[in-house]
Amino acid sequence: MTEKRTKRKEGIQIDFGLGGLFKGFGSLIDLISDMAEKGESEVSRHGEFKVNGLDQARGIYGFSVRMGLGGTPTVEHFGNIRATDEGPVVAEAREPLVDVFDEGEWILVVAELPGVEKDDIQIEVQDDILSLSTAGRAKYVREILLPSFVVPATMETSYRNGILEVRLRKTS
Amino acid sequence: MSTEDKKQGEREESGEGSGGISIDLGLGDLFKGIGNFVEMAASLADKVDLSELDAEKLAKLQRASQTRVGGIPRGVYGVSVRRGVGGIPRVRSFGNIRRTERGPVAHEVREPLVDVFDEGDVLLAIAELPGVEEKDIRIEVHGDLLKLSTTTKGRKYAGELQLPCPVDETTVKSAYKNGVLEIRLRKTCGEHSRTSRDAEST
Repeated sequence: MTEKRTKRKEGIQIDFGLGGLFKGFGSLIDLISDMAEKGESEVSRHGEFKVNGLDQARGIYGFSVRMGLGGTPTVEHFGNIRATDEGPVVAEAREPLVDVFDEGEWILVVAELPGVEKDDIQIEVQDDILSLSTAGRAKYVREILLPSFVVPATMETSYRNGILEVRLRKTS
Repeated sequence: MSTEDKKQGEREESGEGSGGISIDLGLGDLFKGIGNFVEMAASLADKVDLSELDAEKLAKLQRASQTRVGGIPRGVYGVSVRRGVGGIPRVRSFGNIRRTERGPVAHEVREPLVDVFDEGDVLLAIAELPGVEEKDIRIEVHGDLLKLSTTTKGRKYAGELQLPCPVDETTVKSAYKNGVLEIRLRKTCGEHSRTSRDAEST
């Protein structure tokens, strides 16, 4: 699929120009940058934070924005920080960054699973839901809603350099 | 590798080994901030309003959706928070969305997620670079500055990182596997600087 791309010059920028939505993201990014800066200065003020039992754990939160079919932007989240009633918590398993492409008769799912061994990846498909999980050191878990029902028996997978590609034929 | 094993061991000791267990970060304001971020992002995702868009912009978007930059036409932005060197929580951002005067813009080159661990004599930097070939990764070290870039046709990454201490530029060891790059850098501070500080105090 990656070979289909047209040649582009280096350093090309896409201006999303989406008005309110992306102004929102702009302020999110500002907020996070400020937080990163404040976090640093706060540290120098207090010396050390108390961290409850997560000496090596890491919190990740992110979102991806892409133009979907018909120019509708879709926003997806990834990471292991989840919002709960008691505030954000860090889960052990991380939701991976996933892209779903509609390729006519087939659906292509591309997931970023850095740090995972191929044998540790488990994929289950039912109707239009793909469940992805990994065992081992790097733990990922995600349920993906596909744009149509698929035939599980047609599944083809490949994993290379941390990228999982899953192809599934749509139910006719 | 030893860090990873240690990490696993500590998780098991603290009883967090089984999947799905949540850890309360308890980091106060910093994480309240991230909480707001999570909520804001979630509410934005629900409120994608296309009515603001005129036909011209929509057509532009549709054209943009057909061009794949680095294989994937997508903006990514994220933060990672972890207890860094010296117990200080580190907030790092990654992704390809950058601030500009005209608002956020998605670049072709993505800033990778990088973690740095202090292992005594060496610093271990772990970078997530999914989708690149090992031969296409370029590592540069200048004093306490680590530069990473990739020259792959597909996904492109570039990032600069300030290390907690200057390192020996001639003994850089790296390994890439399953989308994760590990770099070991020998520290040139540590023992030496401690000795000189001791010397000053006496």
